[in-house]
Amino acid sequence: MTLATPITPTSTFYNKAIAPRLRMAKYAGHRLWQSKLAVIGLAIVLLYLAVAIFAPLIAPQPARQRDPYEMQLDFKARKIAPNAEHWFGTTDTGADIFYGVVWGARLSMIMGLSVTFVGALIGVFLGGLAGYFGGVIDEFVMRITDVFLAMPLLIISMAVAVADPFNIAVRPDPIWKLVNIGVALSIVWWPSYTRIVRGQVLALRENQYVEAARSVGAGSFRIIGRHILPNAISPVIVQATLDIGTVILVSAALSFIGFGPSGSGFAEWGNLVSRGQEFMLQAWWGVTIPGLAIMGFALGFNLLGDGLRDLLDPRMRT
Amino acid sequence: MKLWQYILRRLILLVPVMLGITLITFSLAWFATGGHLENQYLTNIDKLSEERIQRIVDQYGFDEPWYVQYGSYLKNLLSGDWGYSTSVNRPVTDVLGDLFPASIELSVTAMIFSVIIGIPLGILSATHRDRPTDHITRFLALSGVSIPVFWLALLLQLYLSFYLGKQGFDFFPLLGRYDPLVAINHPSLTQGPTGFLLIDTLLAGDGIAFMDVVRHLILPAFTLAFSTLAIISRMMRASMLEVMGLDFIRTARAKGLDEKTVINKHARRNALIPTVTVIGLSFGGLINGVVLTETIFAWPGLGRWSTRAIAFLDVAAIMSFVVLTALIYVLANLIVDVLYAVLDPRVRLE
Repeated sequence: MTLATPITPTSTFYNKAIAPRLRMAKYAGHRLWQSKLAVIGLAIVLLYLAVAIFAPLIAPQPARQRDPYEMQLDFKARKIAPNAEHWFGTTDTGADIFYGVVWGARLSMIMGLSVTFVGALIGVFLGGLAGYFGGVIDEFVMRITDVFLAMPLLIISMAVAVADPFNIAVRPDPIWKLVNIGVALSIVWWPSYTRIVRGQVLALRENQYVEAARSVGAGSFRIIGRHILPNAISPVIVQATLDIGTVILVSAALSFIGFGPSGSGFAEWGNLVSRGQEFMLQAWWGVTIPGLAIMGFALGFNLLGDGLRDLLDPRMRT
Repeated sequence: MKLWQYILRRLILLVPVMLGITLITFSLAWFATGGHLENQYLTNIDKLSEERIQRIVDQYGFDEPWYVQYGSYLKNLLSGDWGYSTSVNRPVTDVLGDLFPASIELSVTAMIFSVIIGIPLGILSATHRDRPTDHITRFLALSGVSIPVFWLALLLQLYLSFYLGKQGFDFFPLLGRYDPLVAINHPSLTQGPTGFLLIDTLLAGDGIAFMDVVRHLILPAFTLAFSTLAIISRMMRASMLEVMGLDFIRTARAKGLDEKTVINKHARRNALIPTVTVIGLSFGGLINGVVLTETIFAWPGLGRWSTRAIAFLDVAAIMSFVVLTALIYVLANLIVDVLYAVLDPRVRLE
């Protein structure tokens, strides 16, 4: 990465007229722009976001198709190699893979964002409690965290998805199978955030401004919410960005090994790869293309997350 | 604190963690069976009369409150009774014993792959910083953490095994641990004493069988190694760069040592230390990978058993698998921490 422009009184970032937070944000944006890999990551993420949002325009839902995610099968058009009509080819049941990849982007974006959001929310809450109050609360929360961290992610989410504590997967609509995966992942996804936030809060709570806030009578929750968490949040943002990609890797894997919607054509990436495996030796595209979509998604968020880490946490810079 | 005291302390600290894990697996089994834990042992509920089920429930205490049942679950775990795997109709511990060698052989080979490829790649990347070698290595490292393991496995099957095979290079088999046709004349593949086929075939001095095992092992092991390899090379690059900036490297260069000696004798040794911790941390990823890799390559190990158990709702098998992998994972982390302390005398044990 090239060196950042030094802040001089004449540079645009040293502009007293702008509010300090805005100035920080502008500076951060400038630095991010200078890291080539992070910009590539951001571009990939924005591309996927656009595909997810404009899916109905990019791949319109056929008129006869009831559900946008249950793809229309055309048994006259099976295993067609990528061509002008079917850009990514078709499956052995005649579903259009381009359609599946586009609508799968929407499902993946929803899955990635919501699991990461719920996980981070639980983690920040518990980590904040543990770090701020210390003592018995800290011990209790952190021991539970240790237990969850001692289990490999895919394995424990498999077990939770099997147990299905809220009886989600038994509902008839196949989309509930994906909700079950999402819930299982959310249940196991918070511990890393708890650790991060606890560490941050422990370091921050001794600061003078916290003491100042307490001395003018601010309550615990106000101090945590207004004074500590805003300063502890940047490692959480970095971790969350990296996690959105990882969530998709794990959720696609869960869907692939059988937790996802079954059937002959569902517009979800793990399901598409699993479908592609059925006729892999006759058609390379069935497996290769949906997998590329998954990898691109994860790569985009990993690049962006790495860039953000360089930016927000200079000590971790490599 | 002495090393043995540290190890002992860490082992004691494992007890509450393992208790927590068993509590989780117990409650998940509870949810999975709707509070009727006897269901995980009954293979054909429809054919059993109400009366007989009731008798089983009474006999094994499935109507006791949950904490009593949890207690007996713990007692059974400790005494080696891990339940009954309905998907293969055998006790879980028998299955574990049978399938363990296959999984261990695969993971150890993968670990060796990722270390012997990952560390030199990291060094190469650091010594050629910002040059094409570095960019390629870094891109590889990034794709390693972004690639879906199951997709990589399928790609290797499709392109290296199937398409290359069609081109006449028929080296990598599509599936399995050995070729059943080869096994007909080479009993060391099926009747070896250890279950580790590489070792069994070597002990029998059977070159053909050994080569067959190697051919079957390469693709799954590489699949499993890829993400770990990426993480290791990335960490090695970072710590190498950090070490290369330190004073003693400048001293070594100043006294006229050639660059090769500086890198091999001075920089690499010190840069290896932080990398060791990453190897431990990547163990979790390895276990996740085992499940997917074994399923796709039809590798007769624990991972494939666990995904089949899911299809059959074989609760005892799934929960045992969670307990076992968690145990392996925490022990691996402990070993790495100890190794770290041994390698780096500056680390103080607390």
